[in-house]
Amino acid sequence: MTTLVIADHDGHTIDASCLHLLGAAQQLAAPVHLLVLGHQCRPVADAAAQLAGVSQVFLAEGPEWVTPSAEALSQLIETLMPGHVTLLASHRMLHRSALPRAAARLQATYLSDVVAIEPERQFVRPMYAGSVLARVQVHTPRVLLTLRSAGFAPAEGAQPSCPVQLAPALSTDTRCRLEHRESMDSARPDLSRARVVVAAGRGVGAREKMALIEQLADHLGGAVGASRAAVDAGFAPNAIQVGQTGKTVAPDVYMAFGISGAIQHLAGIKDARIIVAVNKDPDAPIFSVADVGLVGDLFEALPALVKGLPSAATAA
Amino acid sequence: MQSFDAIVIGAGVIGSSVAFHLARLGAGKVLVLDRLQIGAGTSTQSSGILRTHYSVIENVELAKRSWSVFNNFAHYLGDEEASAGLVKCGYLICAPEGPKLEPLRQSLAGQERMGVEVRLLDKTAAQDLLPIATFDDAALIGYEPEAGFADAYLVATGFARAARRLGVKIMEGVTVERLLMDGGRVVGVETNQGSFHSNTVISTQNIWAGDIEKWTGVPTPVKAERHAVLALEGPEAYSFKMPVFKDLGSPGMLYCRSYGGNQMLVSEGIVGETLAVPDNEQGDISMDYVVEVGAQVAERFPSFGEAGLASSWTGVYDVTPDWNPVLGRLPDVPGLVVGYGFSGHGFKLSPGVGLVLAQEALGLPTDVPLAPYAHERFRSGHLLTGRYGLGAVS
Amino acid sequence: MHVMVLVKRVVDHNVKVRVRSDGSGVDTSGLKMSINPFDEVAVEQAVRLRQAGQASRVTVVACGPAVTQDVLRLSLAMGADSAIQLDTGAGEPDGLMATEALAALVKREQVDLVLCGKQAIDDDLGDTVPMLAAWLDWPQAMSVNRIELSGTALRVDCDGDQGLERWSLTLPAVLGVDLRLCDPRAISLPNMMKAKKAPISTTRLEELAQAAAPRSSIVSCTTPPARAAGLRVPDLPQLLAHLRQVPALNPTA
Repeated sequence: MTTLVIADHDGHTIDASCLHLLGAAQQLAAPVHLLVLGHQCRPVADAAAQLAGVSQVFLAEGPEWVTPSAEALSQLIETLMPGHVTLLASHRMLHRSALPRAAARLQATYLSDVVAIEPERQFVRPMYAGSVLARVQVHTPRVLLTLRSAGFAPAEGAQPSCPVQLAPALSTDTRCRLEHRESMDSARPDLSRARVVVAAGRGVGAREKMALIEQLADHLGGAVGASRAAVDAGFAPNAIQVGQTGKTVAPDVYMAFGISGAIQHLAGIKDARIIVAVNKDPDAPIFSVADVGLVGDLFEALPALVKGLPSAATAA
Repeated sequence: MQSFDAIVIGAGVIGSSVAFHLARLGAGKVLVLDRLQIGAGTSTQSSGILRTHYSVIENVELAKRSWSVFNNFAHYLGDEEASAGLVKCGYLICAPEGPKLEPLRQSLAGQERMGVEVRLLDKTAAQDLLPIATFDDAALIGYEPEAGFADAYLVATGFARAARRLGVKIMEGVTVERLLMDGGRVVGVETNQGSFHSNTVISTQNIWAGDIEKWTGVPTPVKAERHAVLALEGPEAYSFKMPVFKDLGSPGMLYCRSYGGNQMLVSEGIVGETLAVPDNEQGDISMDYVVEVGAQVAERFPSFGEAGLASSWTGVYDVTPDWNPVLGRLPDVPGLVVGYGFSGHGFKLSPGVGLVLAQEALGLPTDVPLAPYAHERFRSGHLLTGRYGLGAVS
Repeated sequence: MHVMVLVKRVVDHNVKVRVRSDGSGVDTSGLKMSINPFDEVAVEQAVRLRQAGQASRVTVVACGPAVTQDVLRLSLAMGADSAIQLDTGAGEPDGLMATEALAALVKREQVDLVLCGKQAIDDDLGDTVPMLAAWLDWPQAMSVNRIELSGTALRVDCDGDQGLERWSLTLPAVLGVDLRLCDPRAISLPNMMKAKKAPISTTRLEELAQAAAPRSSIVSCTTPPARAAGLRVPDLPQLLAHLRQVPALNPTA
C-alpha cells in the first residue's frame, strides 16, 4: 500500500514542492518512500531521509539523472513500483512524459495535475483549460499521479534518518541521447518554483521593452513569465510561457503587465496567491481575477515599482 | 433597494448606445445590466457592415443618422481615444437580370430621394473599384461611397465607456430574472444580485428577448438564427480600399468585405440555422457549407476559386417575421421600452436606434418615427418586409 | 518513410464548456467541435515532410465514432494521403486500450514515425504519446518545437523544465508536438472538395486490442469556484501602497 514520491531538488536543497507532495501522501495513510534522482546529490537524499514520515529513500545517482530521458525515468519507475501502489510527482514536464509511459507498462492509471485527493481512490483534476474540475474514480490497483503542489498543505517536521538505498542501475537506452540543454538564466529562480513571477503580455510590445519586466523580476528576486500572446509576438521565449499549454505557476505573487487574461492564460495562474494586474484596458478579463488591479500604463508602472518596492537583495 | 431613472437590460452595441444617449439627454441615474460582459453577446460576432442601402425607407433614415455617428465617433462620444475601427471603403451592390433587378432599382432611387449619395456604375467603373471581381452578368450596379465596415465590439465598448464617464452605472455578470410590477406598471427588475427600482426599463436583449415573453406574456416574435461567416485567404488582396460587396445575383445573396491582407470575409445573406434555445456559442461549420459558399465566391471572384479557408465562425441573428426590429413601448406593459429583432442588421443602426429608444424612454419626441416598428404590426399585418424578400438587406 | 499522425476531435478551443446541472459531466452536444490544435500542427508537419521528400506517405488516424471522420477529412484536405477511423462505437474507450489498438495499427501499417499533439485540449492529460511509445517500446519526445531528420537520425528540440533540450533519437519514434513546431496551412477550397470524396477506411477498436475495463472513470464534474475580483486601485501610489503590504514583496518584514 506504500506511496512512492519523487522528490524535486536543485542539486543542493529539496524543493518546497516536495513537502506539499508529502502532505498529499499523508492523506493516503500509507507508508511513504521518496525517490531522489540526480548527480552528486547524496546530501539531498540524506536530507530527504530526515523528513518526517518518510520510511525509505531511493537514490538514483549519476550524470544521466541530471536531465534524464522519459524512457529512463519510466524504466526506473517500473523497476521500483513493485511494493508501491501510488506514485506522486510534481507536474513537471519530465514527469508528464515519463509517468504515462510507466503507467502503460504497469497497466496502471495515470492522472495529471491532481488538485485534491479524496477518499476511496478518487482524485480531482482540471479539464478544459481549468474551466471544469473532474472527480475521477480509479479502478486499477496502482495509480501514478502528477500533482499541483499548491493544492496540498505541506508536511512538516523532522525525524531521525531513515535508510537510503541506491536504486538499481539501468541499462542505458541508446536510442535517445541528450545533445544539448540550454540552461535558463540561473540567477533567476525557476518559473515553476518562484515565489514571485513578473509576466509580460502583448501590451509589453517588443523585445527591448522586456528589459523593464526583467528589471522588476530581478529587483524582486522573481522569475519572468509571459503570456502566449507575448511569445507569439516574438518578444518572449517559449520556455517562459505561462498558461494551459505552457507552465503552471503557483507563486505568492503573480504580476501581469499588459496581459488581457484569456482563459488559457488564467488556467496557468489559478493557484497564485495574489494576482496583480496592470493593463490599459479597463475591460480586460484579467481584472476579474486580479486581487489588485490598476488600469494604467505598464511602462510607467514598471519603473515605479522598481523604485518603490524593496529590493529582494537587501533582505537579510 | 437602489433606485434609478432608467434601467437598460443588455450591454451589447444597442444597449450601450441606449445608455449613452440616455445620459447625454440628461436622464439622471441610469443602470445597465448584462448577464456576461459588455459586447459579449451577439455584438462581437457582427461582420460590421455599414451602409444606408435599404428597401424599407424608415431604415434608411436610421442608417443615415447612424452613419454620421460612425464617421465622427470620437467627437460624438466626446472621447478622443474612442475608435469605431471604421474602414470607409464604400458599398457596392449588383443584380443580374431577374427578380432582384427591379427591387434594386427602386431601393437605389429611394436612397437618392433621402439624400444619400448613390452612383449607378457601368461594369468598367465597378471593375476599377473591385478589380478582383467580374461583373459580366450585372444588369445594375449601385455604389454608395459613404459606407464601409467597422468593429461592433469597439463601438459597444466605446459607447459603454462614454456612458460611464457620464455617470451611467454598468454591472456585468447580472442576470435579470423578472420584471417587478405594481398596478400593471413596471417598477423595476429582480436579478441574481438583488432588485433595482425604476419606472422605466429598456430591454435590448437581442436573441434573449424571449425573456420578455416569459415575464409579461406579450409574445416576442424572434427566432435565433445562426449564420456562418468565412474568412478566405485569396491569391490576391481584397484591400481596405475595395468596397464591401453585396451580390444579389448569387443564390446565397452573399456579402463580402476585406478582412485584411489577402483575406475576404464572406457570408450568406439569407436563411440560417434556427436555434431552439438562444445561444451565441460557436456552432459547427460543415465542409459542405464551405465548399458551397466557396463555389459561389469563385463565380464572382475567379481567383478565389483557389482560396484557402483561413478561419470561420458563426454569429446569431434575432430574426423577426419581416427582418426588421421591434422598437418602442410595449403597450400592454407600461414602463417597458424594447429594442430587439434586428435580424442581422442592428450594428449599422445602433447609434440611431440608441438615440430614438432613449428619447422614447424619456418621453421626448423621437427623431425618427417609431410607429412603423411597433410590436403591433405583427397583429395588424403592416409588416416592414423589404423588397428583396427575406434576408438582412431589408 | 511512412509517417502516421494521430488526430483527435475535441471541443473547439474558443468554446466555453458547461458542466451538466446534475454534475454528471460536461455536455458537449451542440458545441462546435474542431481538430485538436496540437494535432493540426502535427498533420501540417507530416505533410511538409512528405512535400520535402523526407516522408513517402502520411496516414492520419482518429479514434472515435463515425462523426470523428470530420477531422480526418480536414487532415486529408491539408494533404494527408490516407485516413483511418479507429471505430470506438458509442463508448469512450480507455486510453490504454486505444493506444494498444493504435500500436497494432502502427505495426500493421509499417509506420516509421508517429506524430501527435502533445496534449488534447479537452482532457489536458497528454498521455497518448507516452502510452503509445510504451506499447511500441519506441523512443519518445514531448513538446517538440523543431524537427530535423536525416536518414534514420532524428534530432528534436523540446521544451524542457529548465529550458530548451535537444535530443537525438533513432527511428522509429513517437513525438508529441507543440504548437510552435509549425503553422498549419489554410486549407484550399479545391482540396476541400477532393477531401469530401476521399475514402476513409474503418477498423473496429475490438479487432486490434483486447477489451479491458476502463482504468478510471469520471464520476462527477463541477465548475471551479470563480476567483473573486479584487480591488481596483486608482493610481500608482495606491498600487505601491498595497503591494508594500504583501509579505512576499517585503522580504525584511
